[in-house]
Amino acid sequence: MVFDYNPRDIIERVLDGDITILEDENIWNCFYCYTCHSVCPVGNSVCEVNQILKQFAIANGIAYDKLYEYMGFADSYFTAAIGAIPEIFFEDIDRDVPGWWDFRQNLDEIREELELDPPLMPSDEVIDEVSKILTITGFKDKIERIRQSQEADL
Amino acid sequence: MKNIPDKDILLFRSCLVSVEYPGVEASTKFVFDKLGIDYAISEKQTCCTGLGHYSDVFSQLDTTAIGARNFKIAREIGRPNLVMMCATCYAINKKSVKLLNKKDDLRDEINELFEENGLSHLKYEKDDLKPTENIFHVVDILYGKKDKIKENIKYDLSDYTIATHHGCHYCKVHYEDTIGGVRDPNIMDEIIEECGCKTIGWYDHKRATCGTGFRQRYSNPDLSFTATADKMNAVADEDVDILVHLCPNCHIQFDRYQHLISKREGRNFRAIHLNITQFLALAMGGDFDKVIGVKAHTVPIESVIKDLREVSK
Amino acid sequence: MRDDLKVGVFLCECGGNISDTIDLDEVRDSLDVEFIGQFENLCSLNGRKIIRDAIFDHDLDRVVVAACSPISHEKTFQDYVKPLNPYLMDMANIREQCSWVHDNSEKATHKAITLINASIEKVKQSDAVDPIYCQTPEEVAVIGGGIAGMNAALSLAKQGTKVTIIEQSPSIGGHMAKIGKVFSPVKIAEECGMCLLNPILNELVWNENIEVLTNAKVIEAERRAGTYNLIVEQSPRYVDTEKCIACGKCAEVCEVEVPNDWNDNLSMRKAIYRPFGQSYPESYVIDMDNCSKCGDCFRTCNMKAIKLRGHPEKSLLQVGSVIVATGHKLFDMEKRPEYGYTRYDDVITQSELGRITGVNGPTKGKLLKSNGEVPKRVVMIQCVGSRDEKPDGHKYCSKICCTVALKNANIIKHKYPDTDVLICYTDVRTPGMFEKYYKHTQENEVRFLRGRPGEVVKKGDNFIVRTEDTIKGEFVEIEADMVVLSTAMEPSQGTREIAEILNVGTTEDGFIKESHPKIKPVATDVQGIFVCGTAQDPKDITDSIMQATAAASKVSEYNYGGVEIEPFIAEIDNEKCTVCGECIARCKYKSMSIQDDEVYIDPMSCTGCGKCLVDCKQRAITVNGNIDEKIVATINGVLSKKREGERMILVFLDNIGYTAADNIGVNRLSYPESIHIIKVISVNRVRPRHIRHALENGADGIFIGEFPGDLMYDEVERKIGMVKECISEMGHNPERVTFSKVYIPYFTGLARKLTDFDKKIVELNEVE
Repeated sequence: MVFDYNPRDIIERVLDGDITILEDENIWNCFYCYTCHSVCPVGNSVCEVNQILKQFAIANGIAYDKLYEYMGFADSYFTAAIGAIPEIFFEDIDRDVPGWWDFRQNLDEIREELELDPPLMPSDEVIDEVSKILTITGFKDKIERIRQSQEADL
Repeated sequence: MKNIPDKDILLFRSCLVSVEYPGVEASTKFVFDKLGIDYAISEKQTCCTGLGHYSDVFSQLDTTAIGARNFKIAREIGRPNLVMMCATCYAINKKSVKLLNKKDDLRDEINELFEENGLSHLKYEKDDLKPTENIFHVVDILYGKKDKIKENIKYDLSDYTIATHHGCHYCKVHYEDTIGGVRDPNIMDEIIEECGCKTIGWYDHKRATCGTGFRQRYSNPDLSFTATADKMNAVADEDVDILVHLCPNCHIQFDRYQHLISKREGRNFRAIHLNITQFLALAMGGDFDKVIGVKAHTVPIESVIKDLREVSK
Repeated sequence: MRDDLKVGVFLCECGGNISDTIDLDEVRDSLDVEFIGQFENLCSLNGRKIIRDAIFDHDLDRVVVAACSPISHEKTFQDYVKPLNPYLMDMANIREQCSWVHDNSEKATHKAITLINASIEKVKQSDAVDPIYCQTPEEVAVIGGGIAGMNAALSLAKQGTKVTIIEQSPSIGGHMAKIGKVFSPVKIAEECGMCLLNPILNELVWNENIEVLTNAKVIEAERRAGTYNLIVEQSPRYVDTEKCIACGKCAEVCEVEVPNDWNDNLSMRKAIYRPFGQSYPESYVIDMDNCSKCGDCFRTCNMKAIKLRGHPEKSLLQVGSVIVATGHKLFDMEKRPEYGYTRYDDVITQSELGRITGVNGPTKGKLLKSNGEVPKRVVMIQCVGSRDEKPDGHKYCSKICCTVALKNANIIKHKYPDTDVLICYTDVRTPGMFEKYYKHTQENEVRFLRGRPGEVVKKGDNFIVRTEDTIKGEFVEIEADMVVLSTAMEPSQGTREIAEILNVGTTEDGFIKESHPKIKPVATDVQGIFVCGTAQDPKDITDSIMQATAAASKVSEYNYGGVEIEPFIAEIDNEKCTVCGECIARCKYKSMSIQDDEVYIDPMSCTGCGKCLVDCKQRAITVNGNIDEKIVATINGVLSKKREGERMILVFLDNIGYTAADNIGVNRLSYPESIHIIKVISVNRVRPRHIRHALENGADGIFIGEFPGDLMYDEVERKIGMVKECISEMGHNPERVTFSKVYIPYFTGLARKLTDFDKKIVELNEVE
């Protein structure tokens, strides 16, 4: 992959009203590290511009493929009120991080030793409230649209 | 100087801390107890949306609505001071509070949605919470109790070469509120100094990102690890024993992937990675397994911390 | 009868400043007066013709000018209404206190109508009175002995005026003495700064009209009867300047070495020292903070000039006017730690480079790194702390740093042609003739890169400057062995302090604010106080000298022309006066005295506060100008325009508070439309019955502001307390009346207080 992320180019195209920026791969390469935001002497915040551009792209049905890998996070939040690394990445992590899988298997024991309860399973009441919120904000529909479009392609 | 609370604190659970480095939570509690800080956790509070927000799956509306719910919980139990163990939770919650206070449109939209759907008990009124008075990171609280640290120190860690990595989402997002500098972040260096240790201070790339980049680590690992490698090389150039963190995202990036990046760079990176609360807990005599939670670490803590020397009183 | 007066109203569009926000057509439709005129710029000569013609054609008795603030143009329009008496004209301030503080056009238009109506009602109560002319003392204080202060003092002294220079450091000369070489755009060459400064310094020293106080600071100031009483504190020098012949034997034997601040701490000096070779007074001085008090210098001095004991001494300096020339300081490099200034010896500032390349500097003019070698590549970083809106940075351009960098780059290239010099710039700003010097610098093989570096790091023996080359659009890492930072100019500590002491307005950046950037560039918003040099904003030596001489010229104008005083002051009816002396005892301004067996009132110091009037048993005192009637008429004029559901808050301010309120508009901050500001000659003239009258006739709130430095402050505060009790008894909520401190520089605070008071009134209205 060629890495030619250029914040100046992104801002320029936004100012030009160049709508193709929404389809540009580069807006997805921002780290959200906020370095630009914290030092720019004229007050640009490219990361927040990127964030808005991506939300525009999503609203316009562009770049659903970018979100598809993260559906696991959306699902666990919506159905269990838990934020979690999507399981789809577990294989990679297990390959790259020695001992990680074993550690995860023993998590409850390790937590117990630390006098911590097992990772919290939110109550039904909490889950109800959270999924209701995510329904009324349009999150649920968005996730369904993404899933349908990506799985239709398969 | 902002007013840092030491009571009425809701210690905000972090999903990454819970499942990746539970020792950070145990150490935070251990250190808070030693310093006499009044806190509690809530079973009702849910994740800030972190990875979901920064992988762009959650829009600002989704995240802020979830935030409003958590803020209501904090107020309900009389603990309006949210204290975060994770820099991303800190940044996200603070931004949500700022938006809810300042953007009347967004607040009205969320409140109307709550109202129309039987969730009116969650409504957020302007200035229910104040971004600078109610939203903190654990390091802020530790900084506020800096003077109490020394008297609780049991072990002398001053022989180790110590460096700090200040998470971007603590320093750079709400840069006007950051204690200890943004361009040369030093809040952790100052806290560590209270343990009788001197950090190496500035090093190349000290203020650079850990390289996680949220989606980058999973979807774009090459790019992600290139950024991390810059930083790991700089840390190794200074022959650092302990790199101290304040964010589980950075912690994962360095601890979990040090092995992989060593291979990638052909250089043996050997630093261990501790959260600032783990570092303090260690210096205050916390047990490796019962407080620090060393079993969760990929780079073995024992590879550097071999024996502990008590401080001479 | 006064109701039959023919009033003319003149509306100024102010080139859109007013008419873009306020619908003047609607304003015209709503007014019922003899004549209404409108023009795009009423203050222009065409405006004068319009006003004068209308006065004649329509036989007008009174005039209201609805335009900018009276602070800006009252004098202009008083002149334009001739032959009408100047005090038969009133200004409605629909710019600073309406179009510049409100965005909502409908509400702003209604407020403008209200303000104009208040002026109409007020002006009907005005009588013809004549202004009083007064003379102020001719003596002048110049605060700060740098290039600006020296030139201002010299210019005045040569015109025969007595001047005292008050300089905080042990020598006059300021930053210019340190610079080394200066650059002149015409010659395209660098010249010796000291050689240019020295003749000025000598001329000043020999001028009998100038007295120089060094180690001295103004610590207090008050103005009375056109005279500034300055309390000057002078720290001891511990060396008698009369006896010392500056032989230097004392320094030879002194064993204490401390960093030499005149050399930007790049070399050492002794605890007894002379700041620099040409310093004045031509005498040594002891730095007592560092002195070990061993007595060696005392024993060595043949002239018996050394006195190891001494205390700061306070003295009173009385002058008619003050020139502030307190200068600038340079940006604190700890605020931008990424450039490594505090970490690395060979990262230096342009000021330090100036010392290093100066022949009287730490290396006698040789460009050397800390290890004693000549650098191979010098990288200069521009805009450090300037043009940077992030915390601790400055939004403004420091104006001189581009030329300073070019100058220093040329000096390096001239002496060390093999040293590579690269300037990383944001924009090169070399207007006018300076552009030729830029070209000359390029021809000298100095290189330029457009981009603001992100950081300087040390790799091995060298630095890496990380930056984007924004012309090529690529990231570069430049190797260098010396880095020079072009630091921003900011107001000096002395500038900040003197602004507080003299209560003169400052800009948001802390520089002394001129009363108008275009037409009054050296006056401040306080009469008799002028500003020049870098205390006012960043500028070079040429501009500092021009502004200094302009300030001197304005002081002369003031000294020759005297001061015109508004005639609304106390007057004694000697027929009734028994010379009991009660008023003399009561007057806080000490304006009253007995002269030739009669009570005399000094017109310069009398503020027309009316305190004496109330206490005179014989009722022998009046204050000119129907003040009471005018206040009542203004209140009625505002309240009669109150609409259903509208909130109306009356704010009474004197000249100081009014200036602060204008500053809110000038800086385009805002406050609610409910705020209606009424200018009074003295806040003390607002009587309890005025407040009661206002509350009973529809005012929702009363805000009274007073400058704490005003001698009547305590009196007014006490009085408002009583008024609150009194209105509470009458069934009004005392919370509807508030009293607040106001300061000219702290206009943001006033805007906030007005907004908060409005909020409180909203709450009260909801409850009651």
